[in-house]
Amino acid sequence: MGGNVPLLSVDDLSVSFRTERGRAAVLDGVSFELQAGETLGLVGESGCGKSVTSLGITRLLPKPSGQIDRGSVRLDGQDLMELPAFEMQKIRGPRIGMIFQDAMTALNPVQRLSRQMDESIRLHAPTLSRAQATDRALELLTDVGIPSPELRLNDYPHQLSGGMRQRVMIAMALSAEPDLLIADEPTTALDVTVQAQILMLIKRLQAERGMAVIFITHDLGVVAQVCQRVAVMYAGRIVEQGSVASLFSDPKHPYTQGLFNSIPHLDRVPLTPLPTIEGQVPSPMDMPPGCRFAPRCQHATAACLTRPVLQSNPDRAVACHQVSL
Amino acid sequence: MSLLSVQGLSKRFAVRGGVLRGVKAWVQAVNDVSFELSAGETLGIVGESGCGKSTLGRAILQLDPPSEGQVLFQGQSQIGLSRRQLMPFRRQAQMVFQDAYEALNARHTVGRILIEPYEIHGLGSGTEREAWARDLLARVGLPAESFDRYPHEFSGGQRQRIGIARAIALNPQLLVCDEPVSALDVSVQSQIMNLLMDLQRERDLGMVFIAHDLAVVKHLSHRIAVMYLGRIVEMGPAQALFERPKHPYTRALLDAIPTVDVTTEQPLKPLEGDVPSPINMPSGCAFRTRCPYASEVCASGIPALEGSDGATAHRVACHRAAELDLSPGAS
Ligand SMILES: Nc1ncnc2c1ncn2[C@@H]1O[C@H](COP(=O)(O)OP(=O)(O)OP(=O)(O)O)[C@@H](O)[C@H]1O
Ligand SMILES: Nc1ncnc2c1ncn2[C@@H]1O[C@H](COP(=O)(O)OP(=O)(O)OP(=O)(O)O)[C@@H](O)[C@H]1O
Ligand SMILES: [Mg+2]
Ligand SMILES: [Mg+2]
Repeated sequence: MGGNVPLLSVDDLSVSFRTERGRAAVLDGVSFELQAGETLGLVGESGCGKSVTSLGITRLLPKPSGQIDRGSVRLDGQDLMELPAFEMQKIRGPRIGMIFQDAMTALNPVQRLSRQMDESIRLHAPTLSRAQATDRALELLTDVGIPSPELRLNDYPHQLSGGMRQRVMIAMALSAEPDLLIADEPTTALDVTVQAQILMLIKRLQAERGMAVIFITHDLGVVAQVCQRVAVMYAGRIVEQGSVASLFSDPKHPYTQGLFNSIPHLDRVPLTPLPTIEGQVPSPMDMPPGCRFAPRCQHATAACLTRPVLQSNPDRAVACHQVSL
Repeated sequence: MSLLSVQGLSKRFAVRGGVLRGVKAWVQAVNDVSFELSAGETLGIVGESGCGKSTLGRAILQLDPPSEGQVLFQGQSQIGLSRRQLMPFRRQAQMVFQDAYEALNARHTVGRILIEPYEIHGLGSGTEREAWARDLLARVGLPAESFDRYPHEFSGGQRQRIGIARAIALNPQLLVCDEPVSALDVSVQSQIMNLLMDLQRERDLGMVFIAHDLAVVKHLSHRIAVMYLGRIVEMGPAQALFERPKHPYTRALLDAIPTVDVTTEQPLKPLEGDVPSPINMPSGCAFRTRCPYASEVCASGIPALEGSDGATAHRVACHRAAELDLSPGAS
């Protein structure tokens, strides 16, 4: 990987929420790096902290309940946690673009698309006239495959289909030409051919501008198509990380293995029970000591009551007492 | 008698513009859709983003009144009824919404959200309602403590499961699921799919299952309908549709399925050509602007959905269907 400074370096990021029932430690020591032009897939059980990781990086955690307990996030070597709020605001958009998981909460329900897109485009390029910004908006909507974009600009978000809203958000995030794009489930509402079109667009921007991407998704097929590396999270921690080629052909952590076993395949016998990982994710209010996957793990022993150290070689990192690299 | 019979269903929305915001055009979101669904059967619906799947689901359940057409539930028409007259249908036919957050009342705790359906329909005592609601949480794999939490305190996939719990609260006979598992990781997704298959078996539940993950749709569905720009372009038994697709759009969908195979390079396969708009429909077959097999005949009129009748019928709306062999493997 060379000795150059990574574009993004997340070190020991830990986040908790204050709730009526006490403190919920949701992220515990998340660390990873990303080079310019690289795509990292972030996968893991629903509720494991993928979205919170992206909100932590961009300092968009809900206030006052969400707080960063420890850790640093460096962009080109600069620690984002130390920046005053107004400086951080300049980072979001042109340096770090965000596609939020919940399109409806990210778009303003009472504003037409024309206004929302105009704002985000001219924030990045204040010298553009209104007409130029409209042209740019039309071009972006065409890029993401929205038909009749000139009529669509008049629409309010609720007049769009789920997948169209998602694509509008993608267009807005890309309008600022970010160095790093954090895409949280950007294609969940898209059929496979439109998804392919969006993935091609993102790949093209990476090739042209060296944009790096954190791609949060449940679709492991999409990870195989667009990511170079992948990090697997479970209950607030990264449990395994590595190149897609190596991790997909030989997943080592028992949770990763369970995840791969549950992938829906076209050749399964229809209408038969599907394999799952037995048991439930632990509550963030009551995490098991040691390895957090141990209560559901077939291979667990007494050793698993202590926290597994992260073993790593240049190709792979895994946190499990029962495997050795 | 079918559980659900949808006949010639259409739904239009006005597009407004100009200074006076007058109607400039119409979005033809759903166009002349017909199908039958039996108790215990699942009809999968797939199609391009924006092709009208959610609108169809909402129109079936009378959440948005259809512009034209008929919806029969257990033989009874549900069109043009008052709120009160719709109550029995509402109790037996439920929807899992694509946008879970929008569908849940943000100011209510999860417990209250799950108890509400029993209150509306006057079922059970206070303690019974609470016990039922807690049982629902367990069935969708959420911890008991979720009962006292608010929707914003959950992750996307956890919220989706709250929506599913609410939809099954009243033991419906018909469930319209709009992308119910796309926000879930594959293991929780399998749990929820197992739950839906169990419910179907226990209660003879009929399901309309909208999703874009074709492996998921194939696993759960007895029959599948493929939609393009508001119309059903192909419909048939799940197995047949995957093995012998008859519409070029279906074939394009099958070709674009990503797999987890990292040993071979997977090219991305979007559709080429101009994206047609539901506001300004092309003449003839709506797919012809992007279809690799389009010829003159395709501009000549809207192809009808043709083929034999009955539960095992495999029907297609394509002018050139008889000439084309689109089975995977054939080129
Ligand atoms: N505002 C909040 N208050 C309290 N807990 C929260 C809040 N937001 C998130 N959480 C909790 O933090 C954990 C991580 O949530 P996060 O949204 O990051 O999950 P995720 O990995 O993105 O899941 P999904 O795949 O379902 O979107 C979950 O257990 C969730 O319940
Ligand atoms: N309330 C509305 N007002 C105006 N147009 C609408 C409204 N609801 C939906 N539409 C339009 O109807 C068409 C079909 O939308 P629908 O949400 O049914 O698509 P979909 O197939 O569910 O797509 P997706 O897969 O992206 O969710 C779209 O062009 C959409 O913009
Ligand atoms: Mg999330
Ligand atoms: Mg939809």
